[in-house]
Amino acid sequence: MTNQTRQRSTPASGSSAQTGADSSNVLQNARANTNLLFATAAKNFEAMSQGDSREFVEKSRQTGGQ
Amino acid sequence: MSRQSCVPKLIGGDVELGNFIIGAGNSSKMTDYEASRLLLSQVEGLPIQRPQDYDYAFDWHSSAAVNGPVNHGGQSQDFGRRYLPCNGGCIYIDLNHLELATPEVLSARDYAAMWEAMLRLARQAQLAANQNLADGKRIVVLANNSDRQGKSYGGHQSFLMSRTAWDNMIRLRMIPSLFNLMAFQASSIVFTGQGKVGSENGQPWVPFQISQRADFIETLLSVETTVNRPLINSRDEPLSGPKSRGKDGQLPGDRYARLHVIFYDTNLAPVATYLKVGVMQLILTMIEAGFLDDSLALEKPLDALHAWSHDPELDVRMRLLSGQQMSAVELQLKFLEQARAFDARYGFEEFVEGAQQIIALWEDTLLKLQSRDMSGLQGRIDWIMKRALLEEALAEHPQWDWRSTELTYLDQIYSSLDPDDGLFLALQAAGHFEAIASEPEIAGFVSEPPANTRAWTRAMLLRAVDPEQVQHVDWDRIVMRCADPGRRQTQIELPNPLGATRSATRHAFSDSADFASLLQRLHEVGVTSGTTDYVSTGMTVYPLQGYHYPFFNHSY
Repeated sequence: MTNQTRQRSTPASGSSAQTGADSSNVLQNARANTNLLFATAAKNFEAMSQGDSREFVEKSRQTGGQ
Repeated sequence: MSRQSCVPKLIGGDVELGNFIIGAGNSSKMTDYEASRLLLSQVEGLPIQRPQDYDYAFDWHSSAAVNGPVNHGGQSQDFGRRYLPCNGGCIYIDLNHLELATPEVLSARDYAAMWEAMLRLARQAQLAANQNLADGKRIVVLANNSDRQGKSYGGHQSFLMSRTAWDNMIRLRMIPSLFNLMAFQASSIVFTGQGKVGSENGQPWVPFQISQRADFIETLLSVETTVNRPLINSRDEPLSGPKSRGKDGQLPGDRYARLHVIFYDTNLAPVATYLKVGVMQLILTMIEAGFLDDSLALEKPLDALHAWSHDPELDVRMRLLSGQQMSAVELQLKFLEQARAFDARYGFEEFVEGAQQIIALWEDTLLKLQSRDMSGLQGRIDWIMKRALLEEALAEHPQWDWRSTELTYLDQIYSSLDPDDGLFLALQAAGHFEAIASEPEIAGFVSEPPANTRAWTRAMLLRAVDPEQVQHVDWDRIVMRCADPGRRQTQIELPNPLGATRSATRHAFSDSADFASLLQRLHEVGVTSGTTDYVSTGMTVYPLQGYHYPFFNHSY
């Protein structure tokens, strides 16, 4: 586990593009440490478009429960 | 300190799922209403409910329902309960969420197995419901607790307590008990959190936090569950039959209470599920026995909960009433010390089945948390696995950050019940999670009830009766329309959650030739029933005779 959560906690820009080159060393270290969880779990993810993710997130809106 | 006041820590769960339809066009339209109904329509249970029995007009079998106008009619909070002949549990709809209620179990290990079994039943319903949808549409089912857009839904557990202990803690507000439980729960998120990206409900934004429910816990003690949710829920609903009128009655309804815990996240990781209920069994036993003093109480439990949830580095220390400052892990280690002391002096085993295994795994997990051995905990704790997974995703995709839609999607899909996209299921299949129950135990609970609680007799009765005659089912009773012309009804009582076990009633089922003789045999072993007119309030004592139940052809 790295401390990336804090290092990638960028200001509230809301734009993924704005943070693309902000932490290349961190990203390289993370790649070196990877144990392929993401590759194992999200095997179908890479085929998705950004629109697919957006539709999923929008559709996931729920009525409040208990 | 009174060990005699303790009761076995029976467990149940009632867990709402996220459900919606994708591929349905018009992305702004909410689909949880339709999705939950379509899922429930695929669940086999009693009493039989037909579409016209529900609260709206809906085409159960046509995907046109999600396109065309739908009459949203009345939206009762909880309806369509279907008790399951397969395992004695129940599935229904609560506020547009399919809700899975486990049958009563006695051990944390059984609960972990049963929870996986209930998820498989939900998956079966999902597969069947999706077959009825038009091409390109499918129902997504998520075992999580918020939609990341400000709405939360619960994963509740219930624990059997003595009526005296419950009254002392909840009704009489015995402060040490209440504050011990608050401190324990708030700090236990370090192993019970499922983790989520961001914050909700007005809390300050963080990239990732430990608990999905923490942002929605707003008060210390309350009967509420849908608004202003409390750390400790005061719902007094024992589900143990009626109380006697006398002051010192001996009915189950006099002896037992049910602590309804609405605080926890829903877990996928088997170890997290196991520890969530198992350690709570230990803590409640110590509270019940009056063993814990108030030295572990937090000064501000809600502040501690929110601060600890927003701190996945596990560094933040919060102030106790004693003046000490402790991290969540340090506080948990103190509770562990207390449990070790209780075990050495009195022993848990009479009240908590498998207590030694629970304590050992709790301790090992806390020590790993203490040493920040996160890679050693990925296979046990959902939030740690999810965080590692999302950090890898960020490393692979430098154009993303924690606010990216893709991260929210991956966060949500972690808990999908569909093995084609569910991240937890993929990692479990690849061997990344430690198991608690064996595959035969889990598969067994898909088709059979627990043998050591009343759930066994409930399931067997549901199998034995004519489904058309089942009028009403609840956790502590089954009401049936009689097959005589008098329009009477028979109520079979199951008030004792610890009674009516397989060993108590199996011969009644195997040796009875018809339903009347079954009721008589059950009566002989303490499962009572009675008949009454629909309009009468008087209950006459069994025996009944002369009934014909054509479905009475099951093996036990």
